Amino acid sequence: MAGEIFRNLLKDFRVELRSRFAVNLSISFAGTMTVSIGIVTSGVPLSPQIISLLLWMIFFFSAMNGLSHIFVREVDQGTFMFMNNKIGTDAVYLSKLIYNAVFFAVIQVFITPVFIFFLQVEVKCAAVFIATVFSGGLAISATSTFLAAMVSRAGGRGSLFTIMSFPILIPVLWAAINGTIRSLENRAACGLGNPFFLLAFSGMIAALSFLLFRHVWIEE
Amino acid sequence: MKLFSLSAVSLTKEYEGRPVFSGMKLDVSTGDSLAITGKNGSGKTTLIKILAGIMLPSSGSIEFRYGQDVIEAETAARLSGFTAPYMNLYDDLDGMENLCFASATGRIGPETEELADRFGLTVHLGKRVGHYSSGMKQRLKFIAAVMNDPPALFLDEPETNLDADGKKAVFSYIKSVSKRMLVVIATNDIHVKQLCKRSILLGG
Repeated sequence: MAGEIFRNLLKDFRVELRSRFAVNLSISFAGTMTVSIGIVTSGVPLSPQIISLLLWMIFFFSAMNGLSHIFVREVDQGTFMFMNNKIGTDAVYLSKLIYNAVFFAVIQVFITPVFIFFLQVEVKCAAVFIATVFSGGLAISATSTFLAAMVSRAGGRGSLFTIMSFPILIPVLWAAINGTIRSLENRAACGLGNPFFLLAFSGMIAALSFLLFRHVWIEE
Repeated sequence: MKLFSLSAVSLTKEYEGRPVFSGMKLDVSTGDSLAITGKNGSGKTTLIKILAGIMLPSSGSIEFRYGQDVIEAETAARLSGFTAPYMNLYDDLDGMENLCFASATGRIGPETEELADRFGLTVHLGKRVGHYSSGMKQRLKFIAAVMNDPPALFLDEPETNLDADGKKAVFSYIKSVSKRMLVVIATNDIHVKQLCKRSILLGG
């Protein structure tokens, strides 16, 4: 299975690097939002609560713009049958999950410093801030991968993906925003509780999705 | 060489309550070649997808065997070669990258290079598939289907978009492997039908 995961990952990265569709969509949204917020709020001191909320709103909508493409593109371009014939169902899910996690981590690596720079954010506890950002990103990726497979089989995909994702991502956003607030507020109060919750949530969603994926993906 | 066989019992497929076919019984194994024929909308594509293990029937069952082992539909699908006009390759990748993706090892061996030569694609393998003609795409899909030397081939209208040379190359390949593989073809082309030992007519 490792060979199949690697082949599918390599293919997905090559296709994305050449089309740059999802990466352009996510980065242009995140960049525009960050710069706009930075300009509007320049000189106005923002509380850690507002900063955290803005950061995760940008992450959430960037994910909604980019992460569904991993499955929607296969269905829209009619390539899913070629992939299903060459790659096993479990390997398809795992490779798409890894792809989305890496893709979103790259988006976060681009967005976060820009956000910190434009909003002049002072991070009190860098380790917890970084752990929260990436564990939250992993939780969003794990949830989005399975939902992307579901909506790729349905009509009205763009809106359906966001609508379905939101209720499932509420606990993720709550923990991620909370963790970010703590890392911005006070060095003494910040702990790894929220990043651990986000990692556990990612593991649970990934395990459930792995078990259910074939029922969603195999054509009936 | 391991034998590949499939045995379908009471196979039924319905779309929104409307039966496409029902109660179908079918046994085929290595060395058999079966043509599925019928009018447009008679269910040829649906049946070949179910037999290839890539679609589930509404009711009934198929037992896939590879050697002595009973295998799952998904395993059968991955062991088999499949090509169809509605199955697309990756337009953003070149021909060679599509074949590497399709290869079980992730690499291209001399057998595949020979196939590319046989189907007249050697000089085009470095070009993006999005720039191929529909006939060249069909040839590449055929190579991707047969390159891992599968025990079974499921071909939905393999003659689609091919010129005379392309058809000749595909037909002669099917002829050369039909004794050592299980070959199932959905077609309305009389020349393709003649390549097969048996045929069934759907909706007739």
